[in-house]
Amino acid sequence: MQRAKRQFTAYVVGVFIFSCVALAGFISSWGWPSPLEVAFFWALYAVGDRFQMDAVVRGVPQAGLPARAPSLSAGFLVVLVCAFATDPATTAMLGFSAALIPNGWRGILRTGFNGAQEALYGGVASASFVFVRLEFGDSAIPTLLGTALGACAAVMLNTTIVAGALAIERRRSFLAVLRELAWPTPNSLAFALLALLVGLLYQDAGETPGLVGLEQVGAVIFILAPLFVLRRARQGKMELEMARAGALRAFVSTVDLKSPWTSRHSANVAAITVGLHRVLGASEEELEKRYHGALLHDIGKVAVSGRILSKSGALTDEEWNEMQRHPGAGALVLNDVGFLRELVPEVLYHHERLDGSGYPSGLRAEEIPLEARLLAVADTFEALTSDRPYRRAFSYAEALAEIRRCAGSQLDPVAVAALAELLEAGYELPIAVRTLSPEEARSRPAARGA
Amino acid sequence: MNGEALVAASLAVVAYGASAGVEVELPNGRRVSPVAAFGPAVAALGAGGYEVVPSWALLSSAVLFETAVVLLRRRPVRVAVVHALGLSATSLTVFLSGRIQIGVGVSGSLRLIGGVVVGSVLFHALDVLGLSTSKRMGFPTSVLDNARASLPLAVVMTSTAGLVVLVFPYLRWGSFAVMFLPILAVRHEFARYREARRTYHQTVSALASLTEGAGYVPSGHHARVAELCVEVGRELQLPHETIRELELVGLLHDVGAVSLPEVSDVARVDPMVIASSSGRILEETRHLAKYATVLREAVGGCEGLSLEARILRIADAYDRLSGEPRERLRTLWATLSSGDDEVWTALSRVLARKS
Repeated sequence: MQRAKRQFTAYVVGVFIFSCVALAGFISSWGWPSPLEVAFFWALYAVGDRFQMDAVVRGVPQAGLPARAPSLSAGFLVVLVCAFATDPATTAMLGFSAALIPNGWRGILRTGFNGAQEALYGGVASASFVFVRLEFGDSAIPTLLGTALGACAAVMLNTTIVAGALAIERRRSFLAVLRELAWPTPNSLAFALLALLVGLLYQDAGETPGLVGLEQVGAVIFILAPLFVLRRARQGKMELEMARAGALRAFVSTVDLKSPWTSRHSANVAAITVGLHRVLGASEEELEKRYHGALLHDIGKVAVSGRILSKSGALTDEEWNEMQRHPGAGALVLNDVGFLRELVPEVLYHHERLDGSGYPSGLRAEEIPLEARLLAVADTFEALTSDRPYRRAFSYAEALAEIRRCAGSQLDPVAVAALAELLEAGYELPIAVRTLSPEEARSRPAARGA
Repeated sequence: MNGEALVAASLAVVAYGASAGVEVELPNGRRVSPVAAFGPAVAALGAGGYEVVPSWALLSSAVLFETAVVLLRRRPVRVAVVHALGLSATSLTVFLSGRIQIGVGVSGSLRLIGGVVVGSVLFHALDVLGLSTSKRMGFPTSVLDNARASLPLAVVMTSTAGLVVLVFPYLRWGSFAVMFLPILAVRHEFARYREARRTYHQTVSALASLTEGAGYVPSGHHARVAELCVEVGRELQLPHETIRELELVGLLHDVGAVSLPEVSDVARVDPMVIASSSGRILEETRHLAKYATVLREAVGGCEGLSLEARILRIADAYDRLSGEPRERLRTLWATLSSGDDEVWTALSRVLARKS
């Protein structure tokens, strides 16, 4: 942990120094920027910051994921506008000062880093734009070419620098992080063109830099308005995705209520499973799928009688048969819903054991999909650490020892090792396992005996 | 006519055709072609200050492509007429804004921008009015509904038209290419929004059928109630959003039964238990959260129910009773519907239409 922090600091200082050198280079070529001009764009940036399209990118809420990635923001747009309207020195200066926007302060390290990387990508975007236009003239085609080049350079630099920081901070592979972040998309190119338009209009005011005419105001409004609409549409989409995830979670916890002993089971298993996959280096996209797979793993229990689910003694053969049907019943449902279909294997096989003693198919070792093996470990750990009618809950250490005993024979040793690593890192179940909400407790007065 | 005017005119025709091709699908399912953005901008370039696109090119290409859209995409003629009317009105507005001196010291391009904004708003207003006349919904509701759905697109297109006018002196014909980019971005974003809504609906239906599959609720009950809710909601001219929400609530209204240990408990337990259990599921799904109370009302007392609760209650009761003998159904119906003429009449009309 300490080492990661030191590395992070070193990385930030490196980026900062590099940006300062770049700024010095820009100033030596283009002269000192006009403070008025910088102030104008700074104000624009501050306004744009309010329109931040800063998305909770993927909906894995309870797993404690810091699921935030840089996305198209109005701030980015303003930096691009500045890049196309002025020169690299001004843009780099804007980048540095942009970090000082009031609600952008996130401690000296982060703020310095943000400023430095904005200065760097803004300056480079501007330099490439200016370069193309100097080289090939400032008619339409070189202008558009320069815009595309500048915008691509900006997005790629931004992504790479941020990916480096995230990789160090979250102790993940640089390439894996890089793959998840935003790359130049048609959208960002469209916005680059918008930025170009404002930039050109701004240049037209030429003689009186920093003085803004009504046309410029109009242009800014015309550009921010579509951006705002896009942001609303994206927000609406994310709300729907969260509503979907919420409906699934709520439904699953309702199914869990069939047996008083397993309420909250699915949500906990989902959280542990995500933790295990994270230890093994899965991507955020992958984590989202595994989260849903784990959340829905017991959905087939709707079809199993509650008396069997909460029975404390041994099950009769008939009851055991009914119990064994739940993975299949769950898989059947998922198979009917397009986007859940890929979760079928893990739901179907989460009760398989390495030695072939599991159900429903009695698969062995490698025949069981990896996701199902990890899910089995999470499922077992959650079951051990919560109360049952016939025993008290195990502590984390006791549960881990018990699971280690089964590693190799029933549970996958790789998954068990991942669990050990997760617990070592101080992992806590996100929801208090052993407490029912007052409402739940009232609805089941008989449940809490021993 | 000089060479550039010819190039610009043919570009206008091509751009018009392309804009008829990239239709944007609004959240309420209506398809709109971005001709709305194109119209005012080209009108400005033609009739207004720059005089590069002859007005005849704009108007004839408009007529040409609207005819093509009607023929090829099998759209009603009404749409084409509305668009042509809108374009003419817009051109006129922009033309006038270029000619009439308003105020002192207002530059030509500013007047033009004003004209484009007014013209574009006019176009969208005509569009909404023209399309609202045909729906089965009542006129005012439908206008509001369409206006709300069209607003985001109208904002984007007005801005785009304004931008095209602003940048034309710099990019010349390149500004036509620029014009499509924000529209494409919005189209992409809308498509993703609709996709998210589709998967959401799928999920909710899956939960409903899962509950039915386990035997807690009669097979098909959720879907039938949802459908009745939608039809009654339409009959009562409720807003589009409310109807959509009612449909989802109809699909989920009995799903809470899965918290009961046994299927046989459903008959024994107080319906309120199931309603609050289903309500908890709604509460977790954010934009349906407000319907949790509707659900509880619908099983609870008879007095002072919200309209949504009454619709849900009647749809649910009708579906549960429709298996009963006819005579019994009539008496039960009479007790149920007493004091609720509005919803009851709407349901009767829906049922009459169905049979």
